[in-house]
Amino acid sequence: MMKSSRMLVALFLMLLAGVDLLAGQGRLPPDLDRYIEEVRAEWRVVGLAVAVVKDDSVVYARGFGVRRLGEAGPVDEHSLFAIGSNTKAFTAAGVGILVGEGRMAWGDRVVDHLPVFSLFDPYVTREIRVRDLLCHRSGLPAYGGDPVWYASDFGRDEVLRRVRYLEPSSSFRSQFAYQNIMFLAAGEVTEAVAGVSWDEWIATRILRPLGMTRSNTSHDDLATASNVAMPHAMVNDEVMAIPYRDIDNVAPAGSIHSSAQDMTRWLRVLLGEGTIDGRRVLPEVVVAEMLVPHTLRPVDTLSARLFPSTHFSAYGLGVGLRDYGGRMVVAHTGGIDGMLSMVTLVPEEELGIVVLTNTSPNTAYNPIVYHILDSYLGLPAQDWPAVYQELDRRTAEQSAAARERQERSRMQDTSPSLALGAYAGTYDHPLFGRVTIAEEGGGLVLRRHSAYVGDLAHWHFDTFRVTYRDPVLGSGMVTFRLNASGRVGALEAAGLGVFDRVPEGGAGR
Amino acid sequence: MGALRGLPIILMGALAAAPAAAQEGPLRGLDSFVERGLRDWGVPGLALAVVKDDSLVYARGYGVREIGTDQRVDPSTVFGIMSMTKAFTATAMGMLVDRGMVSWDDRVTDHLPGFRVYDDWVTRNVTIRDLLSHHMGVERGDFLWYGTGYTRDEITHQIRYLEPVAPFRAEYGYSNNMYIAAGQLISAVTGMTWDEVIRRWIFEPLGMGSSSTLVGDLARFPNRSRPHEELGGLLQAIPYRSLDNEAPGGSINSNVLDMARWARFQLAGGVWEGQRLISERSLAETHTPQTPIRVPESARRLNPGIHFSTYAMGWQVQDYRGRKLVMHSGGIDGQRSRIALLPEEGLAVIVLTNRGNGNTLFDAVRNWVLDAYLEAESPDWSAEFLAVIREEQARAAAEQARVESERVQGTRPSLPLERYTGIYADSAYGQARVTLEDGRLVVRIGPELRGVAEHWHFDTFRVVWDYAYDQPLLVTFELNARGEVARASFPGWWPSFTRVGDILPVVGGPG
Repeated sequence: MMKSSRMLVALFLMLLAGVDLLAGQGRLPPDLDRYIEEVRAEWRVVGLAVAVVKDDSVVYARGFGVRRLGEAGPVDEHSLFAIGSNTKAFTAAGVGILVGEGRMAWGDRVVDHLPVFSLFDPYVTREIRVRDLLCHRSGLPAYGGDPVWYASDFGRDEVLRRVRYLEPSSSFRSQFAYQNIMFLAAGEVTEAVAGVSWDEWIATRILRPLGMTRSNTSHDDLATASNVAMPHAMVNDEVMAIPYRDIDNVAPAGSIHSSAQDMTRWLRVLLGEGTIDGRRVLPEVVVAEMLVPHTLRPVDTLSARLFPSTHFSAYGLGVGLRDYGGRMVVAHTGGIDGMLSMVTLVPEEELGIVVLTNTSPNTAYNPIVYHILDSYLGLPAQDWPAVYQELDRRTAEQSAAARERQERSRMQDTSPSLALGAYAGTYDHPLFGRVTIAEEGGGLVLRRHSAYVGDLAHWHFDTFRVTYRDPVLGSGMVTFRLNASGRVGALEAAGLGVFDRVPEGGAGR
Repeated sequence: MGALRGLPIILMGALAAAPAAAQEGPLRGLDSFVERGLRDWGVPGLALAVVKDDSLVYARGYGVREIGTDQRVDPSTVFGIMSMTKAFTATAMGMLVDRGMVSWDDRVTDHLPGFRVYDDWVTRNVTIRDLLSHHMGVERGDFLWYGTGYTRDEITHQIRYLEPVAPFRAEYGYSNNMYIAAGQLISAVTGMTWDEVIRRWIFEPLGMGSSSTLVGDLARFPNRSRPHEELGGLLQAIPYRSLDNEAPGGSINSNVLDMARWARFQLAGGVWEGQRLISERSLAETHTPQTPIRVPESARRLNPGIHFSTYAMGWQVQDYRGRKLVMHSGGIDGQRSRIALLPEEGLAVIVLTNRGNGNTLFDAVRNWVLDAYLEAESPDWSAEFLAVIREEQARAAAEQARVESERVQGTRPSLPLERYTGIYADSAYGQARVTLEDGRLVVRIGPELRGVAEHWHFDTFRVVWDYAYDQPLLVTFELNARGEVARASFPGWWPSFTRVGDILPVVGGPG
């Protein structure tokens, strides 16, 4: 009698402490549908799909919300989303298949396969290896060169050609810095070695053998696809449907579209060390190579606070790695206009989770992933939605403060040095290409590629704020530089750099 | 009482109580585990200390300082700590960072203008952090210092001749030589020897009175252990190897009491008895992973819950049952050791032993103590480690048998033996001298290594070193088109030495 009542007290205390009594024999969290639906609503995500793989079985695959705001078409586990940078692991695996076939090695010099490949530093050009392309240690700045491909008219070759003008920000292989263009280079290496396009290689060697029948690698493929979730953006706190961004020019870094159901095949082949349904699709050593740390990353203070059990953070090949609750967690996020996704694997638990969403920005995938992870790992439950709402609130505060600081720094009562027409012209940057400024309808209009068309409003002195007509592209600051002869010699675009004015009739680049 | 002999009086009170605590607390059963381990492993002596929550909770010696004697190991017994020295070098560097004298990412050549490696770009770009992180991509090159008479300056100079074996910063590759260079850098910046810096900035403030940096200092510590190796199936005491020229990578001799102070200082984030000796930030930097290390399957078995293995600066950092483990081992002829810190648990273990080859008992003890405090279900770690060592020994024996089986019978050297004599040279490793003595070829490399070369097959000879614990190895003499010996190569050990001249007969004598 005494004994059983004491046990009841202990049970009660454990429940109070949030200790999962099934710790060690993890399971899908109860009432998961309701949890996800609440998170979706809280973050105003239009539609999302979640799938969970455990012990080589799909134990959960569901859609929530709708494919397009204002329309009835529901998201289900077959709905297509852009998976963004979750493409990178496919690119690494694509290279790995060639390595497995003995057609190249991870340690091959990139220039041995792509003789025209060139980076800013000649040493790095001749020394950089294929493996370096896949683990963000090139020494080029994080996200450096992204405006070369994002919303740009350049093709893959041109994007890759221009990267030679991107100056390194850290000593070669000394730091982690996320680099999309290096994954494009890995895709080009794949094409050079395989003799077929990266897209075809991924489709024929990975997507088809895995039975990822709805998945594709190109913006062009969307036109004929059905059950496609549309991207949505939050503009001035209002959710609106937007077009898919075409990023075929950097495809190996992020262009795959897939469904939650298809992605369970990918999770299973990675968890299966390269095999699925008894068939080998990827060499075991390739999967192993993808999932070992190649580049170490600092555990930043925010992560240290949110995840006290995390001591290590690293990048494998196309995937992030860290320890969480005493396990190694393999994870990557993907994001492109209106689309955010997260892929998570815990190999020792044979657990995989994919979350695909069609609204940006949002951080809703985080609470969903951690809720499921904690349940399977037998960790105490936490109020992850509250944690991430608080983080979002702080992020919003910070950007509001930054906007306010910018407004405050605006000098009053200044006017442009020259008549508006004097600013018109063509400006060129070796990395980012051309910008034109034209005087139209009494104002100045900026154009860069076909996507960027923006109206300039005077800010102060010779600085203008440019507001793009495509609301997804937002706004920016442009400063014109006058030379000694009192003419505009260059334009500085915030975040990009200095574009030199191309002389009238000059060839430029 | 024997175990406490030689202990400073001031510690007696605390330690006298400790063994009793060990019988009751987490360390209950430790003594019998270690004593059984000494027997099972044939390790003559071992000293250990355990630190928990900034207190030395246990320190004890087991076995003897030298086999065949009854000189007991006690907590004051001095041993070599070998590569555990590297953390002292890294900490001293952090102290220089605090003083604004260097930055971790300074170019080495800014402080050591003569420093060179195989490639000019790498020479210009290599940083202090790189020196301490084992990812330079050059050959390990231990024969620059091991058994050579080269000074630290000369070794640092010779680094330029080491061959690249991996891309720069791409892979983990252990390098003692880079720590020698780091020590020379510390010396160049401070105007003191590395030894003085370690003594004045670390040993003295921490009260590490039994710790020293030179082999000659050992004479001051009569209570010292002797190294032991198995020679011809017989365990015997051998001399201390001088590591004076490799000092910043491994020369410190110390005892578990001093090392417990060092561990407490590390766990306290750089504070000793209320005094900050290094900034928290600089010390944390030395514990921050810099280079990933691939974990072989065999290591997984012995490191439960390992997912990440890395080298920081002077420390190896990995996860152990969900915690961060900051540690280093040490090893040289006849001695093996370990320090392990579990910062989240305020726990440290130091194990010093006096047996070399085939001894990983120190890590069985490490795991036993860590598991005791983590309340983890622990296998018989001694048996587990012993099984892995036995597998390794079986593999080595099989490899040896394979080499033997590949020996071609009935061959003879191409040339008369005296034609193999001469001076052979390599830009990194200096001279090898081959002479004919009593009808046998004798190979000398540097001032200390001497071995007799017995014919193996064709123009390959097997060198059996005078120090029997240095493995025999094959040397192949290569003939040129004129039928003369042009090179001698020692695969896997040294590069090819080129024959550069005859050994000239000594003409005349002292006048």
